[in-house]
Amino acid sequence: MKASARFHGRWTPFALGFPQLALVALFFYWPTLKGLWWSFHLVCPFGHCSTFVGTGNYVRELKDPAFYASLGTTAIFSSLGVGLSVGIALCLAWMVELHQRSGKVFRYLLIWPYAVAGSVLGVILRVAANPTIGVMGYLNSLWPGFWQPHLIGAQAMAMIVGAFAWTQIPFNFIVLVAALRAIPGDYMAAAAMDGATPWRRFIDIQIPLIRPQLFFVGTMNLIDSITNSFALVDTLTQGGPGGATDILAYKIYRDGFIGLDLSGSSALSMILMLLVLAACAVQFITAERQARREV
Amino acid sequence: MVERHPLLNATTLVLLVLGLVAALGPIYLAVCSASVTSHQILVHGLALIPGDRLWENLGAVLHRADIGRMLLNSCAVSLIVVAGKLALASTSAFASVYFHSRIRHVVFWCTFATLLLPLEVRVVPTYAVASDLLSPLRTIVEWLTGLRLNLSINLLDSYAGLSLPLMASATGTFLFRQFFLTIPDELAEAARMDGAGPWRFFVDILLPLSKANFAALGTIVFLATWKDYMWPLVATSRPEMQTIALGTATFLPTETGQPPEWNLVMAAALLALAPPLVVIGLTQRWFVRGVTGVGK
Amino acid sequence: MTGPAIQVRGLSKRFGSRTVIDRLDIDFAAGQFTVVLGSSGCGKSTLLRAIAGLETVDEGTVSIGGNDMTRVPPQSRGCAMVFQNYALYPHMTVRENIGYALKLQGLARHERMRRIDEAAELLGLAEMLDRKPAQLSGGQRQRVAIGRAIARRQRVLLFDEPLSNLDAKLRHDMRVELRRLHDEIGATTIFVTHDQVEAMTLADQVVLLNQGRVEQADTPATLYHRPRNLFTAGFVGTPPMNLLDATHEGDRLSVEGGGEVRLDRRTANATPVVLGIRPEAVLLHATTGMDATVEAQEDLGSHRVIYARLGKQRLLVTEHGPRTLRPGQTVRVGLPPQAISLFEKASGERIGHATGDVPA
Repeated sequence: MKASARFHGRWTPFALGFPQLALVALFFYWPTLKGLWWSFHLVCPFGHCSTFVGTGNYVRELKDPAFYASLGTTAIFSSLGVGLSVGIALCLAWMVELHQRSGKVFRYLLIWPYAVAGSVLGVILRVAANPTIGVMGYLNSLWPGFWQPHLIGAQAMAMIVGAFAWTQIPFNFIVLVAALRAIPGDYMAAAAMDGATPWRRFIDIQIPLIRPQLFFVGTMNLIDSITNSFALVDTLTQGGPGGATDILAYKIYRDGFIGLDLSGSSALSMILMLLVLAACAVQFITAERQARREV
Repeated sequence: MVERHPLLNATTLVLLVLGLVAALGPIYLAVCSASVTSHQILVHGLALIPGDRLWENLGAVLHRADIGRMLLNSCAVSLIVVAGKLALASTSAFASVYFHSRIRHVVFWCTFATLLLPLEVRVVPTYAVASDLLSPLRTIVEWLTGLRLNLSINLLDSYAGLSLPLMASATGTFLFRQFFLTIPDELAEAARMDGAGPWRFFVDILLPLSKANFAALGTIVFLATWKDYMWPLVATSRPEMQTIALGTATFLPTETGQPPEWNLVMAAALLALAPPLVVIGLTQRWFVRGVTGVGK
Repeated sequence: MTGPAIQVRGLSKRFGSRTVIDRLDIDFAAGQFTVVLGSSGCGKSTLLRAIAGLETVDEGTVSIGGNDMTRVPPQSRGCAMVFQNYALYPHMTVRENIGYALKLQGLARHERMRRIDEAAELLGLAEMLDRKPAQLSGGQRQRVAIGRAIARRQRVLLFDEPLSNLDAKLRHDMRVELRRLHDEIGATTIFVTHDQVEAMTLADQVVLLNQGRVEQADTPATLYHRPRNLFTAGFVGTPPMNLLDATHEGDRLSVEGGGEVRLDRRTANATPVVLGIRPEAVLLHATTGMDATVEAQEDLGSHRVIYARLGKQRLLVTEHGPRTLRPGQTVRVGLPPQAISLFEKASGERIGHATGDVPA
């Protein structure tokens, strides 16, 4: 932007930016610092007293088998959830692009699940996936004991992975449809003239051209799977059975609010933050590299 | 695309219909089960076709618990967050783009950093701040002067407490910043030549041009706030301050107690998802634009 | 009602280590139409924006009507500006666009309307006052941008390549109209362009800029017929002036690869020079002169441009009337001494017109 398009003045920009800065300071920086401080102290349950313990909390967490179990659960949940939501959304976006006649209707309807909050989906699934009265109840009456998510960890995991994907697909779908539609029609026409089938066009032209957006939705999903899957777990499985769905975000909440272990919970938060940071960094670096390659 | 192959057409259509069934299935099941009696669900299992008791069940839910109040809370909190975020995002983006002052970098980078750490990850200390808003002030004053102040404000169980932490994020600032950067420089120059100062330029030129962005950001912020679960869970303890996304979950049967009334649970779920569904249905253009513009 | 004179003194502007404007001194005469001409990157837009106050300067002063305006904010300099992409406010109607500055000045509504109508009348915009910019054609938008400038009754009008987004026909019409407007309102006008046709047709004075310096500031005719240096000679005119290497000795000028021309001017020692002559001044089928070989020709309808060769040097000649030449043919060309410009080979500076003054 040209310097001449900018205004002078010292106080005006300050006044304009101040409300946002104040809010961010109060509800972002202060809590983050507080969490960081807690993570290096042993804090009593309501936070009124503390002793400095250095990295003691981190060491304690990193020696705790429950931490690794939770980390492993998070890894499984995130990778499956992200893969499923990106894969299905991509497939649907491609179908909509191919089927232009009715594509518009589907484009309109397929984004409706965005309206459903994670907790509300959890509540619906508590009924719909209920072993006795739910949809799977019919299978249970054929093979008794087939579907028992409250007892079988893998089934509970499958349930929250599916539910997570369901909540993420509309977002991915919107972004990917927009990306596919942004590809100049000439490219597709040229490929068709070259004799490429729809499948080859998808693999050779469309996917490479929308790679930035694919990567973008993947990262967004990944961050969401780490941070935003709390509602699903809380309403569907509460981390059970036997810790099979005890992802880190849920463990932080449980340790902090139910176990009142502010130090351990804060140390976990910081570790989780590093994971999110790493995800952001990968997204940023890849986007940069891609941008540079295109220049 | 270019060709019209009947087999291709049929395959894509089948896959799309399957996708649609999966997408709308849970909502459909909720409608079905919310429109039958509790007895029918317990005896025959989940309803697969709608019954005729939808209105009665919805009425019963509205009667049974403070669902009306929860809907009102959700509306109030969502609208407060929308208004607050639009105001903060547009002004801070303006400050971060259209000034010579160094402050524009401060505004931008301080806001940018919030992207790195979602509320869910820092929920425990944020709770601590909300329960004792002046603790930063007290700590700083004590650190500087050694004085102990005896002031405190507790934001828990209040609209302010429910909405302010949700506003403290960067997404809106980014949307506006990106948009402002696409506006030709000459427009600002022309306004300067015409004698407009920064405020006039902001009010007369920038805001009218940003209408679509206000609508887009407003829509997705409304939806995100409405759907939020974790913050209301920790920031409220009184039932009358709960939001609907949270309150629906309290309808779930506890381990002990009478036979669960699944039809009412589903009716509550329907009430929780209907308003955002209407928003999406009616404002599709803004909504899609918001999603592609901001991320989430 | 004549606009004020503008003086630029010692003006420099650097972006980082790049010097865009280098100690410029220019006078813009009161009420005159001055065109600042130059190729892209020569600093002409920066100069204009420095005068407008949109760009701060590193050194030097800008004074308007005798008052130092170097540190005065743009809205207080009494200038109005028309931008290359017009910069119309897209959400406002034509009326609101033209009236916005007047509103900010706090002018009463009826006075505002009167001035808007006046400007619209002058520019033929009366029909479209209630339309938005998106509903207008390029030429109409252009007129609104001009209307916005003149409704403020500023005595200085600044134009930043305003015609470059228009098609050829419209550009021609707008040129005529701009000149008429200028004569009507008498403001001091500075018009920046890279198009020499605009410079030649519009200007009272042309300032030719190159790499942040003034190469020549003169009337269009002087610029064309008496270029001060090789840069001006090569820049102005389509097709460009022929520049031939030659040696000046005594009163003879011998063109490399060609023959000799006898001049009025004499030198003691043989000096290498560059001979400049406009294609239309070269005589074809001359009785005395030098032999050139025709290589190709372009027929432009009203005339033809002949590409000929004098030894290793290229010579362009325009031919009017019936076609007489074919490629490969040899033709005798004459270089009339009174049409020749001489430049020092080393410095590129003009040595002086071979004879006399600018042809009438």
